[in-house]
Amino acid sequence: MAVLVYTEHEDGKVKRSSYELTAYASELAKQFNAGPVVAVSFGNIADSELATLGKVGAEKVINFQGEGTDQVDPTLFFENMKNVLDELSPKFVVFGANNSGRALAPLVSAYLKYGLVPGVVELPREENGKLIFKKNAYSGKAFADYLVNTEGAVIMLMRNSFDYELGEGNAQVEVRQAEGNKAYVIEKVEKATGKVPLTEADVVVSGGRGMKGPENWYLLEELAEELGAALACSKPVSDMGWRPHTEHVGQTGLTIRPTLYIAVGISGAIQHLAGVSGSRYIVAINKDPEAPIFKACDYGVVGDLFEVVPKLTQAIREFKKKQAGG
Amino acid sequence: MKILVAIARTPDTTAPIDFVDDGKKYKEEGVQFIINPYDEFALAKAMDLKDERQDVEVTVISVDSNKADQLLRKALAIGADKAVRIDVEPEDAWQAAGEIVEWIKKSGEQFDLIFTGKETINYNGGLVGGFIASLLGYTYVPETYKLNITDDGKLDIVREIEGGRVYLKAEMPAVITAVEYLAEPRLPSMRGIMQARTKPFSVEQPAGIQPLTTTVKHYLPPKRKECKLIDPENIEELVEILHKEIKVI
Ligand SMILES: Cc1cc2nc3c(=O)[nH]c(=O)nc-3n(C[C@H](O)[C@H](O)[C@H](O)COP(=O)(O)OP(=O)(O)OC[C@H]3O[C@@H](n4cnc5c(N)ncnc54)[C@H](O)[C@@H]3O)c2cc1C
Ligand SMILES: Nc1ncnc2c1ncn2[C@@H]1O[C@H](COP(=O)(O)O)[C@@H](O)[C@H]1O
Repeated sequence: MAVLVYTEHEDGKVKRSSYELTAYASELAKQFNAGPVVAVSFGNIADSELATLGKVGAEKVINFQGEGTDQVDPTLFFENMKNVLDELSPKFVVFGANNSGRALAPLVSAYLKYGLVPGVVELPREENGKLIFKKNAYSGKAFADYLVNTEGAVIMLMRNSFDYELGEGNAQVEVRQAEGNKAYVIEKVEKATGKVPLTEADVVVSGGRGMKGPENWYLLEELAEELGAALACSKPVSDMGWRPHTEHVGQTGLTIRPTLYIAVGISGAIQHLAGVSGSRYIVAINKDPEAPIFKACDYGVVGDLFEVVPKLTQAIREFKKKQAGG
Repeated sequence: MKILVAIARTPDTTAPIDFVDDGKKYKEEGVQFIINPYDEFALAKAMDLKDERQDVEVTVISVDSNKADQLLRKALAIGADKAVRIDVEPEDAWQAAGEIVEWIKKSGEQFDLIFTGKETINYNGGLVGGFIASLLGYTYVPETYKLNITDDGKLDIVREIEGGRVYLKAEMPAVITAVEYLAEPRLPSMRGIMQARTKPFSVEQPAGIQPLTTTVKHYLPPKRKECKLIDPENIEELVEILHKEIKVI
């Protein structure tokens, strides 16, 4: 028995979301007495960095290295995970509800014949010996309780759904060579430009059609800089080519769940909200007091963004200066 | 070349979300159902390939009750050659995928490409494609943004990943899941609607695949508390909130 968790890293660091997944896995292990938490990771990374997963309860990390492990390849990754599944017979396998989760979790579920619950937002509860998971449904407009009919479960956890703290401890790290067939030949990888990856960001500053044009984005960039935030946009903004499509959030774009989402010049259409309604706080800046975004936010400023945004950036800058000064 | 496009029925994107039967079922009354938006992109891509090449035959399939007939007819009118409906409303993605795979095996069809959407907008799984690939041993290419078939029969693909794109080559047979922009959705033409009437449309009995998960109930999220308005002349109040309550500065 064990709880297996699929973790990822970027620029030599374990992703924040992977600590969250591992902490969730640890809580599952505790709650169901399901044995040790073992993390699986792919690609080159320092043992000492992987060992930090011990701070959220991983006992061991199995790291597959070698050719083809830098980018998710469903065939290669699954074939190697299969060995670990056979060795450990986990009761739970935990993935993120993101594109690597979608690439791998169905293969693991089909192999183990464990029910797969996508978009989980909480720890499960047990009723009559069966597990019930709360999940996101209707693109953020509803939740659903799913009952798993099998002995174990594969889970895809939504980001920012589980609070955790870093404790003490080091996981034991075992490095293995990845072996097996590949699904693809990868020719090129293009990274989005932002400093903070959008789906990992704690704060997101987002612009809509109210920004009037790409030349005005420096206003949002400056605000984002002060907040250490990532940039996002509404769909028309990326359709018109003002911003790259990789920044588009909403029903047809990315789903994000940051602590704070700041919507600037965005009307708040239902398809837009589908991608951001999981944010802990939403702040809106819009000149139209009737804009639907004001029905969906926690704090709102009714005003011209071209005046409000620079003022806000300036006020944050001054606040930080004052704090630093004592 | 044979292409299969899996089509799910979802409520219109602007439809109100409400539930009946103690939250077990979505309230369908008065709601317009559509082809899941991502499946529209997948279908359009299949049509583009059909236009580019002479040898393409496109089958559309849905695991659903007769409520999906109208959507499958629409797909035929858009240009698909055949429609298949497996007569059961599936409980989960495993059941839907399993039924599709059982039908493929039973019919003896050899599909080179199977398209699904990235996810359904009601179930939000994104699982059916992965299950099908796994059960058939096909190459799995989730979240495909661009697709071309090269002269030597390889798939030339751009995939969307978080924070970027991956350019890759893959082999057929493959399961592709479609994101927006894979192709421009098409509308049925008058001629297409006429032709659709005579195209093959078969209704099959389910193989009886059991779901691995079942829905206990749905519920609506708690309402956000009323929005608090901040005077733009007093933006410092917002800075205080960012510091004290939201704790991001
Ligand atoms: C199937 C489908 C899927 C879709 N998917 C998505 C999706 O994934 N993501 C998405 O975002 N949209 C999506 N849409 C589109 C969505 O319906 C809206 O059209 C879109 O979100 C509107 O973008 P916007 O808010 O930037 O623009 P608008 O609706 O034009 O809003 C601009 C806002 O800016 C405000 N404004 C203008 N000038 C100023 C100023 N000087 N100062 C302050 N405020 C100002 C205006 O008051 C207005 O509220 C989808 C639509 C469909 C049909
Ligand atoms: N009942 C169904 N019948 C046919 N295809 C389906 C069905 N449900 C889902 N699909 C396909 O699988 C994709 C992903 O669905 P899901 O895993 O339910 O989010 C959809 O975009 C469809 O292409």
